[in-house]
Amino acid sequence: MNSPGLSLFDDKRKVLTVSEITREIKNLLRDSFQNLWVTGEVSNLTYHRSGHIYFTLKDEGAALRCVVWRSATSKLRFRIEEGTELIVLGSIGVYEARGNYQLVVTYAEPKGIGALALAFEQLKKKLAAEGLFDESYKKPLPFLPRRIGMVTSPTGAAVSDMIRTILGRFPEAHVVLLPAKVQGEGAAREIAGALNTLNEMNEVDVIIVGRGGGSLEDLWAFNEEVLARAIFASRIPVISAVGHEVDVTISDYVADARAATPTAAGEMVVPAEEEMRLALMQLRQRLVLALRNNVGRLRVELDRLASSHVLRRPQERIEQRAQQLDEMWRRLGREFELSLEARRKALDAARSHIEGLNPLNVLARGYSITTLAGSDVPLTDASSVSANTDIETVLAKGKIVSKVEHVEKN
Amino acid sequence: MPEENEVEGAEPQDAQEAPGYEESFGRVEELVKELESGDLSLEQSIRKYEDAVKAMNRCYELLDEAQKKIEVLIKDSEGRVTGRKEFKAE
Repeated sequence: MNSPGLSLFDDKRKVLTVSEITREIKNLLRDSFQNLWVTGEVSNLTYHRSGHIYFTLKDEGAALRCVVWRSATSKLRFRIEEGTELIVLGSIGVYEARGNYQLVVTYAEPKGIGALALAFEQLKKKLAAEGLFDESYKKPLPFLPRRIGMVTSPTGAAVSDMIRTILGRFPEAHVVLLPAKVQGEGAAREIAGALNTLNEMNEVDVIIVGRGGGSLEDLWAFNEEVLARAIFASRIPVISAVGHEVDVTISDYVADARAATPTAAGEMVVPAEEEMRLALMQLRQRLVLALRNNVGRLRVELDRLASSHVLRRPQERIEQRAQQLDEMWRRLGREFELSLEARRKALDAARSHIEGLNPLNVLARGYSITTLAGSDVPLTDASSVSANTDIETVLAKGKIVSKVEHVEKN
Repeated sequence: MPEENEVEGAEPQDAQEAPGYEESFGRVEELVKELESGDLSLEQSIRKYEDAVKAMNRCYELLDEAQKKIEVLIKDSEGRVTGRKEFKAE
């Protein structure tokens, strides 16, 4: 259209305003650039305090500004890092006022490694650096727990496997199950809450937390930070039993012990009662034997005592010791739990030995103790006296005072 | 802390408890070793034997007092425990 007024030329050009051209660009892009998958390297990354994430995807030839609005960030399972390669899904938006365009990203995943796998690596690194996996924090499991706590799904094979294994080893076990969702939205928080509850109730000595096998997605709750921290904070020892042998989760790293399978957890948490009773029986046998050997040794010592030095008032001292041994044998008779047969035999044998060694019985058999007059020391060598020496002889009953006639050396 | 509608359940662990199984069993082993090493007087032998019997009885006590119980706690919508009942696995 020609404008009114003085003009030397007839302007037949189509001249667009800035708004007009921008609007046309916007319409064009909006139609053609919706929901596209784009890949590139992250740079200029900003986790803005508004909650939106801004970054640029680039390659050798070009750069594309991107934004993840706050509402979409929850879909990201991992943290975007500067320099990583991403695959994103987004649509182009044009911003008239600023004259630029950007890709509004609704989904992103790391290129090459799955989002979940990356999230796993990131969390593992973070918690390891904080020390949550350190051996020094791991608590020992109680050898014989009075009450076993369990946090798992009340249905499914895992819980019944665990209970069956536990009862098989220790038939009188006491198990307290606090059920929780083991996959899906909110599962990690529910399991963490259950751990806290069991700690507050303070009833159980040990807690098994876990579930049966499944995909990485299914097991994901056991890789979440909230659950890892709850396991770490648990004052009660925690066994992590998630999936199968090959599935290692963050929970496995933090827990005080890891069971490769639910069945393994059942074996780990409780001892075999039969083995315990067997060990007790063997120990009891050793105890009885050790005591008998001690008494045997003491009998030998008393024997030596009776035939050598006897201090002041020999009869009384020997009597005292003999009485102690008799008393001891009486107690053994009371407390021994050997079979009646064996016990009777053993005691009879022992008693007749003791009777034989009891010095009073020795004297009763006609032996006597001879000392120098006024001395305590029993004589064993005839050459320690000579003719006319005064000597004393102690018999089972009474004492003889005599004078030596003559001496014969053997 | 006890509340109005407290769940009927087990007593919380006491701070001062009789020795546990591992501790008692270890004590018996220790005493048996001392008796086996010989060289004890009559009084020492008797005393160690009696202590060993006491510790061993504690082990049997712990094994015998266990009573099978498999129970599941009941939660409300907020996750608070409101009761318990016997649990039957499928």
